[in-house]
Parts: sequence; structure tokens; C-alpha cells
Amino acid sequence: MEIFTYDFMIRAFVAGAIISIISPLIGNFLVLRRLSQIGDTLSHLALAGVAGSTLIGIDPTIGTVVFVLASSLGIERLRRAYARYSEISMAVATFGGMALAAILFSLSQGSAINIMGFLFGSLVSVTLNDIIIISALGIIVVALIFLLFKELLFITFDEDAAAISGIPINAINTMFTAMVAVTIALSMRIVGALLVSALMVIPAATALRIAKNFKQTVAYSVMFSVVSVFSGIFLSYYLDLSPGGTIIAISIIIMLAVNIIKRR
Amino acid sequence: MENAIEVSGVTFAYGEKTILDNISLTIGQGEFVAIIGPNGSGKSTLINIMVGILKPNSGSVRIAWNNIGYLPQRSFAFNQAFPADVKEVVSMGLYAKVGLFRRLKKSDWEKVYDTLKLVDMLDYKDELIGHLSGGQQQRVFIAKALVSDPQILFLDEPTVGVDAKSQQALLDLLEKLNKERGITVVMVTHDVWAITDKVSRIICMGNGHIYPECSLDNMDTRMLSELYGYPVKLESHVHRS
Ligand SMILES: Nc1ncnc2c1ncn2[C@@H]1O[C@H](COP(=O)(O)OP(=O)(O)OP(=O)(O)O)[C@@H](O)[C@H]1O
Ligand SMILES: [Mg+2]
Repeated sequence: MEIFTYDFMIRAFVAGAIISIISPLIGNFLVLRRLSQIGDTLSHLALAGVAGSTLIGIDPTIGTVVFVLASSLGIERLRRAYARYSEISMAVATFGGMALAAILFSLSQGSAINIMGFLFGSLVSVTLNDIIIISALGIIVVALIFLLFKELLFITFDEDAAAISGIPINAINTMFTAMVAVTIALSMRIVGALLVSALMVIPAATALRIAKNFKQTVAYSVMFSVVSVFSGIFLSYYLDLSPGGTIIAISIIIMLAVNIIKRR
Repeated sequence: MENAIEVSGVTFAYGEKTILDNISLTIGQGEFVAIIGPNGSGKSTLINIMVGILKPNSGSVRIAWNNIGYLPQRSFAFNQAFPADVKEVVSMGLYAKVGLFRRLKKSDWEKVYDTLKLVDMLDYKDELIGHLSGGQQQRVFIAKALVSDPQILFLDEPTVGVDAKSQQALLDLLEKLNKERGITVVMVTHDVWAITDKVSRIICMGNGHIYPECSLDNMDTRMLSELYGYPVKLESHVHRS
């Protein structure tokens, strides 16, 4: 097939494969903990990370990972301070991220920065360097989820009970927040900042409708996400559409289909 | 006999409101203790301090082991749409024991099934937790508290929402665990008459204090009326069994 003769498309598929696995893995826990908003917040901060990296001239992927990681740990502290109103700290951080991104983008005007690509995703902009970073960090995220799977399940189900039983919830929560941050910074390259959290939330929400236990929820969500990302990359290449938009549109179609079949 | 639990001089307040006022008590190993008292008297607060969810403003709690089982009040007030099945929920009771980074072994799952059988819920092991009735969920949570073979079991109103037959079965089970395995049981309950022939001691709470004169021997109408602040009648289910 012609599509596989282009190096940039192969890079896009490799990056897509990793992103399509880590996003729903993280997304399941976010959705079930009612924290999906944090994905949105961090993606706005990621935009500021991209703008900042471009401005000071460092690799945007590395710059974004570092910036989002640092701000996520800040938000985690804010969230504890406003324990009962975590949406306040989230909203403040979202607006803060947007404002900062706007300022930094306007400062870096003139440098050829593809804002649309960062907002809605891009297939051509994935560099070999990105692939190395995405693969390395992606494997770490998958490994950590695998190793901490039962603890994350328990904390998600009942944080207090997990704490009493002796599970180190603060350490695991901090690690989890870091994984969310990394996943967002990585996924942004293909899906775009405005749609990364959709790839975390929608496949997980679809899986919820049909799963009979937690393991199935995770398996289905990854399956739906992989299908959406791969078919989305194909379609966006042949029809020349925004990859992020196409991927998310497909995942929503799958969600609707599952809901219609389930209702009958 | 060494003590299982020692509470000394514990005071706890929410803001200005003192909930527990300088409470001291000891519970010996192998005791089966019931805590009774009116709504809002601080029973759950005391349990939460004993298991370590709440930190007292002053005073201290000492527990002889760290393997404890805990069934919180309204334990079924969780996200009813959570996609976990019954066996997954019960298995959570084993996670801390299994340890970080490890997976459950076959013998762990057998333990889960044995415990489900103990509470008569084995047939439901593959059901989503949210698809069970409130009483069935309560039995699953009891299994989760029991599955790690705790040396001390804290139960906050375990029989609420459980039907009469299962309630009796649960009390019999607790009695058996207490007698045969020597597990220390601390249970909050409002169903005073159902437990008088099972427990070894009763602790009465009211107004942030423990009533020292309240004991199994003088559990009578006058005592209870004073504790609950209204005339409690003794009739009906005394000496059912
Ligand atoms: N989070 C809270 N903030 C403020 N006050 C609280 C809080 N939780 C409980 N209280 C107060 O503490 C007191 C004791 O509550 P607790 O739950 O220990 O009572 P209880 O004896 O378990 O009652 P019940 O029989 O209804 O379960 C009550 O007066 C209650 O209003
Ligand atoms: Mg209570």
C-alpha cells in the first residue's frame, strides 16, 4: 500500500499505536474516579508547554512532558487543598494554561510554529526523535499500569478503604498524576491538545456499557481506542482530514453504535 | 492476655464540636465487643479513629496487629455503576497482603471463593457489584473484610439492610470466627437484642462518653432508656434465638 511507503506515515502509525494503548489505560481510571476533567486541564497546559518550548528553542515533546509533569504535581497539591471542590483548582489551571499558551504563542510569532497541528493533531510533524521519546515513555507508562494495576483498581473503587488496608495511596496517586501528564504530552502530537482527553474518556466510557468486570473494561477500552486511532490515521491520510478530529469522530461513532446495539 | 486494642484519653472534635471527650478503653485479644448508642453519639467516629482513618486531637490508639478488617457504615454507598464484579471486589481485601507489584495467585483466588462461600454469595461471583441488592452487597463487603484473615475485625452496622435469616447467619459466622479462630471482633449495632447472647462485652456510647455502668449484666429497660433518652421497651425479641 502506498501509505506505508512514506516514512512519516510509518512514524505516525508507530506513535499512534503507543498512544492508542496508553490513553484508554489511563482514561479508565480517570473516568471511574470522576477526574476526566484533569485531562482537559493538562492538555491546555500542554499547549503552553509547546509554546514555551518553541520560544526558548528546546525540543517541544521533551519541553511539554517536563512542563505538564511539573504543573500536574502542582495541581495535585491544589486539589488536596480544595479537596471537596477539586473542580475549582482544575478550572483555574485550565484558564491559566490557556492564558499562558496565548501569551507565549503571541511572543513567538514569526517563528514558523504550526498552531493548528498542536491544537488538532498532525501526521507529518512526528519526528524520529518524537518516536524515540514516545516509545520510551509509553513503555514506562504501560509497565507502571501493569505493575500497579490492582492498587489503582482499589484506589479507584474506594480510596479510604485502600488507605486503611495499607496501600501507599499518596505515592501511587502522585505517580498516577505523573502518568496522566506524560500520556497527554505524548498523545498531543497525533490527536492534538484539544482532543487528547477525548481519547482517554470516550473509549473508556464505551467499554463501561458492555464490560462485565474491570479487566474487560480495560480490554474493551484499549480495543476501541486502537480501532479508532488506526482507522482514523488511514482516513485522515486518504481524505486529507485532521487526524485528531477523524480519530475522535470514529470513537464517538463506535460509542453510539455500542449504545444502540446494547439497547436492543 | 495482651490487649488487642488500647484507646487512651482520646479526644476528637469537628471544629468546635467535641465528638469524643477523653475516651479510654481496652479490648482484649479474642473479645467480641458490641458498641451501642444513639445516632450521632460518636460510634463511627470512634471506630474510624481505631482503624486510623481519623486522627484524634489528643490521646492515642494502640492496636496489637496491623492485619485488620474493616467494614465501614454504609459501605454500599459507592459508585453503583463501577464495572467490577463480585470476585474482584472481594479480592481487593487481599491486595495489601499480596504486596505491591505482585499479582494474585491461584491460591489467593481460592481464598476469595472460600470467603464468598462463607457469606453464601459464591453463586454471584461473576455478577457486577452494582447489580446486587443492598443486602447482598453488604455480604460481599463483609467477605472483603474477612478475606485477608484479619486478627481484628471492625464492623460498623454490618446487619443494616440484611434480611433476618442472613442477619442470623452473619452473627453466627462472627461468633464462629471469634470462638474458633480467636479473631477479635468490634461491632457497632443498633440491634441490641440480637447480640446479647453472642458478645462478651458491650460498650455504650452517648454524648461523647462511654457509660461505665452499662454492661451485659445490667442491660435492662432503665439502662437503655437512659442511654437512648427515651423509654426503650424490653419485650418483643428478648430471647429469640
Ligand atoms: N464530617 C463531619 N463533619 C462534622 N461533623 C461530623 C462529621 N461526621 C460526623 N459528624 C458529627 O459527629 C457526631 C458523631 O457522628 P458518628 O458518625 O460518629 O455517629 P454514630 O454514633 O456513628 O451515629 P449513627 O448511629 O447514626 O451511625 C455527629 O453528631 C455528627 O453530626
Ligand atoms: Mg455510625
